[in-house]
Amino acid sequence: MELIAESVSVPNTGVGSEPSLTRVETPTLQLLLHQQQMMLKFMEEQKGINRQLLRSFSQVGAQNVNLRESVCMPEIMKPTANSTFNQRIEELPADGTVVSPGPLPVSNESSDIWRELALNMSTRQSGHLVARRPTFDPRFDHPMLFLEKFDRYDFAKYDSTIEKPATYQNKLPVIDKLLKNSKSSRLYKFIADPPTTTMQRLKALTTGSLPTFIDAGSNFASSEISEDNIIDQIGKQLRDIVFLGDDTWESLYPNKFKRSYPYPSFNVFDLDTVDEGVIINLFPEMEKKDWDLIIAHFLGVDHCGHRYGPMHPEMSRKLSQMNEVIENVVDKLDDDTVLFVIGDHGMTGTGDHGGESNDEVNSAMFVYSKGSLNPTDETFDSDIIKQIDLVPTLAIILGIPIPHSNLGSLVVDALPTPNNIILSVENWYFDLFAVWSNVQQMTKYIKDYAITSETFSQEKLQILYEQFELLNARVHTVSNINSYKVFIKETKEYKRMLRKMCEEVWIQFDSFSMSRGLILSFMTIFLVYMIVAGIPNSQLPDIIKSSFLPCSYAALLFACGISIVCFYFSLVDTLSVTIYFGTGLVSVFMLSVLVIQNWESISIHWFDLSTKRSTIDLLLRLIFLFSWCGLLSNSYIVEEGNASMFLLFTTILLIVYDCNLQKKLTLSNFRQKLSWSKLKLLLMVIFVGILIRLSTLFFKCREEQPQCLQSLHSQIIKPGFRSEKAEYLVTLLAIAIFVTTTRNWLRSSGNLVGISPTVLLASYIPTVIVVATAGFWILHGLSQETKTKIMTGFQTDSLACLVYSCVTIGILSVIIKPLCIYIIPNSDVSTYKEDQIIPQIFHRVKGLFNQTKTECNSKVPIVCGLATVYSSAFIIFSIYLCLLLILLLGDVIAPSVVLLYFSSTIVLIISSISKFDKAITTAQLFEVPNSCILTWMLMSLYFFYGSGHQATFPNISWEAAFIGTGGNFSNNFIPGILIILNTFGVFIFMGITLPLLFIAPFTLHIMFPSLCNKKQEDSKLMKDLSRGEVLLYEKDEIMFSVVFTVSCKYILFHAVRIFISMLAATIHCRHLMVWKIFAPKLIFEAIGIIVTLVSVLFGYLLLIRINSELDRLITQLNKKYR
Amino acid sequence: MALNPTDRRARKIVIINSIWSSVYMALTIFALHYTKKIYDVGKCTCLPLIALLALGEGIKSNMQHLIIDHLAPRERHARVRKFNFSNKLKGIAVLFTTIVIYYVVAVLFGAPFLSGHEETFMFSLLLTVLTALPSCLHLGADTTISLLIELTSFEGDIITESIRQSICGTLFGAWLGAIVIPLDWDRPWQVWPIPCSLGSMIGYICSNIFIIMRCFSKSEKIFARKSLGKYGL
Repeated sequence: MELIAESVSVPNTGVGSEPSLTRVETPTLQLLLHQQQMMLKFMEEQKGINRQLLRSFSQVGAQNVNLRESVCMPEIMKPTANSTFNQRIEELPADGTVVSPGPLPVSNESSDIWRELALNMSTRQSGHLVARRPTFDPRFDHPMLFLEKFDRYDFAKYDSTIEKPATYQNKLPVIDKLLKNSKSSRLYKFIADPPTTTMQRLKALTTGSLPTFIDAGSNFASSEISEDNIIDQIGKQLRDIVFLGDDTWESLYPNKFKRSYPYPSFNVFDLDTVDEGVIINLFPEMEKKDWDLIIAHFLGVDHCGHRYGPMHPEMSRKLSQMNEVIENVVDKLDDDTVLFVIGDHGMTGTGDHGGESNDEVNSAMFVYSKGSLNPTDETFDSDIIKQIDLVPTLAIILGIPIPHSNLGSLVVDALPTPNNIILSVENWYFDLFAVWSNVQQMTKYIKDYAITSETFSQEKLQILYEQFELLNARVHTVSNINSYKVFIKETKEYKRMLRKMCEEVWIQFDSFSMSRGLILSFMTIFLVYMIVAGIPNSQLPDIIKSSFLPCSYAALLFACGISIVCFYFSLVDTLSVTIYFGTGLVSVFMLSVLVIQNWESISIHWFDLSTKRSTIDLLLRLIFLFSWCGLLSNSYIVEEGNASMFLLFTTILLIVYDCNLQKKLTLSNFRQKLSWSKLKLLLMVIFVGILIRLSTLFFKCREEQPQCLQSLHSQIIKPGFRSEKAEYLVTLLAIAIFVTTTRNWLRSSGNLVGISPTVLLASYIPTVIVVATAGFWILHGLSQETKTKIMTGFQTDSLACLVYSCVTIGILSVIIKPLCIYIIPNSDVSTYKEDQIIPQIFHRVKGLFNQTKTECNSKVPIVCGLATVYSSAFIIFSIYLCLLLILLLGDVIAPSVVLLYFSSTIVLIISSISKFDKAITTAQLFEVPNSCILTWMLMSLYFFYGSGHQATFPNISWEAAFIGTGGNFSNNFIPGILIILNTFGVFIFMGITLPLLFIAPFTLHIMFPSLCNKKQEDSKLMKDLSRGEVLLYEKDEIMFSVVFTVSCKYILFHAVRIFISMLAATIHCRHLMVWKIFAPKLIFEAIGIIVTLVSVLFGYLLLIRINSELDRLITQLNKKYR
Repeated sequence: MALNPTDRRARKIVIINSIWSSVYMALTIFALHYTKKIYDVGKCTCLPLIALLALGEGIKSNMQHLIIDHLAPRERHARVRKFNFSNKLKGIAVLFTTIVIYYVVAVLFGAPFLSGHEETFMFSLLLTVLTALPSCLHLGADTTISLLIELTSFEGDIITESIRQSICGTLFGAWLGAIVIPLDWDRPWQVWPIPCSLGSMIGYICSNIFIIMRCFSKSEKIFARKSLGKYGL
């Protein structure tokens, strides 16, 4: 069940690591909300003495050696004169070790070469560089970029073009101001590689390599970077880094910083702590001058995007604050410092990120230095650079080796102008050197990589090497500024080609593991289908109870043992995968043995079934086919919400048209009997259709749905907790209706009588929860200022905690005492009747009970609510679950839960009526048709979308993790649970209430006998039915086997989907959309099926629990009254 | 086996009706294609098309009188007498209700609710003309209501059965047509409601061809349901 892909990490000069297998697993759902605004501040400073010595090239070289004693670089001392410098370029090719035309020296030696070159470069850069790179959230940067363009090319139009700047526009005037001096500042469009999640961006910004999607899963548990990266390189040169801000850096680079001021990045609601902490420490640090690089990573803008979206006034406040910071930093910069302001990713129109839409990928890089930067040359310098281009640029400025696995190309016009007064070489020589060392490094990387893996095709490598030779020959002929420019242009082409080559083959797939997973899951699904659909219900329990189960357990243990032995003798690499595979294989074997043993009964059963099939069955199969075929097409996955609504409505319609309430309606009698009951059913279908259609209002938009993003409601939906007053009222009204209706239902079924704890809780707790939830939303909706005035955050959270504890208590009460019944010991009905204590329903119940249990009327107790004893426990349980979901989904989306509840109720009613219609004997009532299970599955599928979710990572509503926790987590368990509840709540709801599909007809007949208009009142069927769910108790053997089959089929419907998702991801593994659409879909389906498995199991266990309690009770009563 | 005259007449009517329907509809689609108006199916400018189709249905329903003239003259009088004014009014009311119902159902299936009224309206109009109108013309308003409510289980004579099947085919075609809408090919024919409208027309043709084939292939059991193959289509 796993897709295994190889994420490439490559042996590098620093830390060697082998290409590792990374498995796509259910991502640990930790919250990584914090994003990275990061500000890197980067400075190189040299001691005062150095400053004076800078004039002399040789002296500086010597100084460098002194400073870095540990780094053995004898060559550095050699270049003494300007002429030498010139010479060196010419000598390089001759010197075999330096740049050899043949294969580059394999290991560190060659990296020394370019390191040396780079060091030379750094000396010319005069040692006094403060580089500071900050980032902005790209979203605001992106528009900024636009503004800047106007500024640059059309000063006059700046104000007139943007008359009404949005909250995020025009908020960074300082950049505009600084850009007016085109000699010392640059602004670039900064393109990140997807996925735009924090850790991937940080990795790219330090290693310069291409990210793989798989990393996104591990985003949440950031572990140390083992690849060669710029931070390590700086450390190796004994330079000092000061770091401030997002604590992700600390976990990625532990103990690499001289001083660090990490702040927790997790709490998205906290806009200011990180930023203020950074600001307070930043300026004193700048004064200290004992660092080479300062990294300052601001988070406020990003958090603001997550919390409020880009259009909120808070955003403009944060941006103005950033503007102020930049202004102050610029003021304090000395002449030798370079400031980099970068955004590590952008944000979508809703303020989220993680995907690969333009808005998320585009951010900005702003470079500023008090000195001058290299002049821009229109012929090869571009405004648009890749994010990884920053790595070589920083390395060159700092004079350190470019990290081994870098694929970024140097941004020439962001380099400070060399400070060579002594050297009579022209400036472009330095740049040539820098660019060439970049080219060499990249080529070497590819060569190293090609040795260890067969990823690249030989032809392509051949072309690449030929190109390199060509450039290598040409580098010596560069003699003047014009030829330099031509050369630079060609290297750019070369680097682009190289990078493209890498991007094409970067992700490798472990086809062996993928095919193993596919075959295993296919076999499992197929065999379980054979067993569940093939073996009749009557035989199934016997088969399972036979020696099959012990044998299976023994076989599984045996498989585990074998795998452990194999691992012990190191015949296999990983233990867990072997165990999964071994046990999977054994299970498939056991299942197939079961199928072969029972082949006869399976074939007979299927033959019987095949004679009964009708057109409607055919159509239902078609719908099922469509529901999973859609997973193979990217457009259907994008539109799955609408598609599943279409299929769901069709299925319900078909169920209704499948039942003919009046047999033999013909031309002759149609006038007398217009089929009112059918019409009623159709109206019910229309009603449930309206409920379902209403919930489309809560759809979230994927980035692939531009028309959806433009629509009005998508902008309302985003801010999970902010809502207009009208919406708030609608939500409250919906919840009130929900609570009242369910309570009335329970009351009229007699389940809310008495003083058992479950009953008491069920009658009062929902109201308490609703009040607490409403209060929580109100407090949460208050603006930041008001909130601080009235109360602390703790008080807000306490309301949510109240809801949590109420729900927990309620659910526990249902589990411990699942029976909502009240026993009236004496059967003196008349007194109670006059007191109006007992609803009318008791009489019927009493009647029922009398019929079933005993003959002596006088002594028999009346049991209220016995006729709906099974369903009431499920209903109470689902009420608690719904209320919890309502809180977690937030006040805007909460009504969708109510819609879900009511539409599933109506679906239950419809399916029951269609069952009544078809059943002639009681045994037939015990069958659950596949159409109902399919409807239930489609409901879970649809309401996943209908409750405001999408199968993409940016659309996960991380806000749920902060409800009641305040954002301070000691571990990731609680927030993980909350987010899974929020995202997969519908799957849990549908899974737990699955037994209701079986129970509902019996309940319904008790509650609305008129709905099932059977003519033959005196038949055995009607007699059985009138006993309600007591009938289930009497035939609990059949009940359990049927519910087992139903659960298996329901899981199968989901399992087929995950199989198809796996297949789709395999087929499309080179598809353009695989990381954007298919892989997230697979992960969501995988989590979905795990949640479904657990909740279906839970529902089944609850049923067993109710049954055993009921058994106990009735035995007790029998003892007492007989 | 010899059929009695009534059955034979009814069968003849069914065959001629079906041939007329399929040929007429096929010609209409070709005409649409050659006048390059096929992408305008969802716009009000295509009202003439609807009128054309309605006219076709009208002609079809009158054709049966010609046949009746030859075989059973007395039947004709009975039929004519039935078409009184109140019946017609009732039929019109049924048609309008059907339009509304189709509109609502289309929205419930996912048609845009706040926008695209014109498209949805034209689609429901087309469906009404293809399903409810022939039923009203041939069977009368009351039967139409019952037929639409009990679509899958209604049992009647050969003519009723053929109309029921053509309704089923039309609706199924419209349903199946929706499949292409979500695909991201950006073709002009993927716009709502063009695939559904074309699907319903093609479904109409197919079901009529199917009826003709059945009439010719098996003589008397043609419309006895439940006895036809595994799935009893």
